[in-house]
Amino acid sequence: MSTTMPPARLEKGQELPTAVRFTTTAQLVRYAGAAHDFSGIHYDMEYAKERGFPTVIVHGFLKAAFLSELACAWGGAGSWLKSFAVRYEGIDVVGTPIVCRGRVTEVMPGNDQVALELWTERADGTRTTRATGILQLGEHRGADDRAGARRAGDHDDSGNDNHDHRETSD
Amino acid sequence: MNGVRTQTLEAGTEFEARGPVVIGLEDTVRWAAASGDYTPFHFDPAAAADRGFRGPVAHGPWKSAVLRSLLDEWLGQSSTLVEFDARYLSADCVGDELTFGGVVSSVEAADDGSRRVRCDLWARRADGGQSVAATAVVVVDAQPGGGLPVDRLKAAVKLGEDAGSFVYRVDRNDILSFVDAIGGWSRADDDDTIAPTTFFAALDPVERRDLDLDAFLQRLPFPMRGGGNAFNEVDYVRPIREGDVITVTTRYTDVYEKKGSRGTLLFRVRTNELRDADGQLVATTRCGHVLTYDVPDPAATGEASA
Repeated sequence: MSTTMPPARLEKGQELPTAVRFTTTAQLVRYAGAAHDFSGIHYDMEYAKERGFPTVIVHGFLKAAFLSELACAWGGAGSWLKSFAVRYEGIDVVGTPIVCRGRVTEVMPGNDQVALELWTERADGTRTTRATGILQLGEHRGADDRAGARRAGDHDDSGNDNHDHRETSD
Repeated sequence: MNGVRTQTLEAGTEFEARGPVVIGLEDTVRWAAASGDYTPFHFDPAAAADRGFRGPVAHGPWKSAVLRSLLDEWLGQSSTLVEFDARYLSADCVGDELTFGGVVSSVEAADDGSRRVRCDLWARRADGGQSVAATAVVVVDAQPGGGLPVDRLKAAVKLGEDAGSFVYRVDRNDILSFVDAIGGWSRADDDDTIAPTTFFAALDPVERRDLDLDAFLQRLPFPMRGGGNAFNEVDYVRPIREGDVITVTTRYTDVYEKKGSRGTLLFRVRTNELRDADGQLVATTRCGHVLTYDVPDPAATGEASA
């Protein structure tokens, strides 16, 4: 996943592009090493079963990373999450698709920060992870966004009138 | 084995005495062979008589060994002897009778959930005279049969106080391998690599087990089911970047249990403060972890059959 382009428009309710992640045991081991999190439930199948899990399960923190990366990828170059809070509501076992989604819940005055809600779903739509975050858009974002807004304004025929939000310092 | 049930241990608890035991020549010969102490007066009646003893004299450490093996019976095989101190007050000869016993002088709950049992131990002669006076400290596992040791956990994690500080240097490779592991992409700021949002997980002393104050929770006498992180939160002042030397200070802010549908949930909530080499705050995090135990509810057994 990679991006350098900031979103062309910013508005409340706007959905982030969905990303679907598939994990492998190798990735979980790699993550265990990178994060120094060696709880056996993520790579030792027998131990995971002893603990009542059907097989090894994905680190909650890894799902959190999928969501924060989704947000930053959408935010474009230079964007970063100033705050991020994630709650784990259900497990995801290794190998099953983890659908990562998000939407804008608020566009902050100044247009350089957005509040996001993010979540992971299983294939059946059950949410297993819920997160919120404040995404700081890149330093050049203001100028880019004004340009983007004009572009969007010029070409956008969807009829929504949220553009005034972004026309702040012109 | 008629050992004292370990859950009833308290100051004043008396161990069931062993004896009288008649000291045999075989005992002293075996001890000489096992210990390498072949001083002749322990097994040679003539050598003993030369030294003015009525007969071969039992080795003092043999008497201690008898007391230590009895401690295993009294306190259970899983107990660990951490201190033992003995004074030998008489010379006891082959054919003499000794009785071994002891009493608990104190029981303290240790920070890790186990109990430190201090004992006064003795060996007495048939005439009532004392042969050995010993003290021992034995660590006994967490009390079985009760509920979750929430109070001990609070003490173990130093609830409300700084529990520990650790310094981590963030190298470029640390960030890159983390990025690789999460299937992310690397970012840079003025040529420095910037860590992904959740990189704070890799700097968490508890996740890393650099701070491991509550390992005893893995050994409680209740089956564990499920468990894991309940929530993670971070507030950044600035992103973490390569070259940062971060001091992480952990403080537990909450420890509590809650009945759940699948067992008793034990929550631990901690905050970390991340400061850079200049002492400037970089981030604060808050993490909640839950363990689920199958704790039998003594009050529920009647209802279960209804």
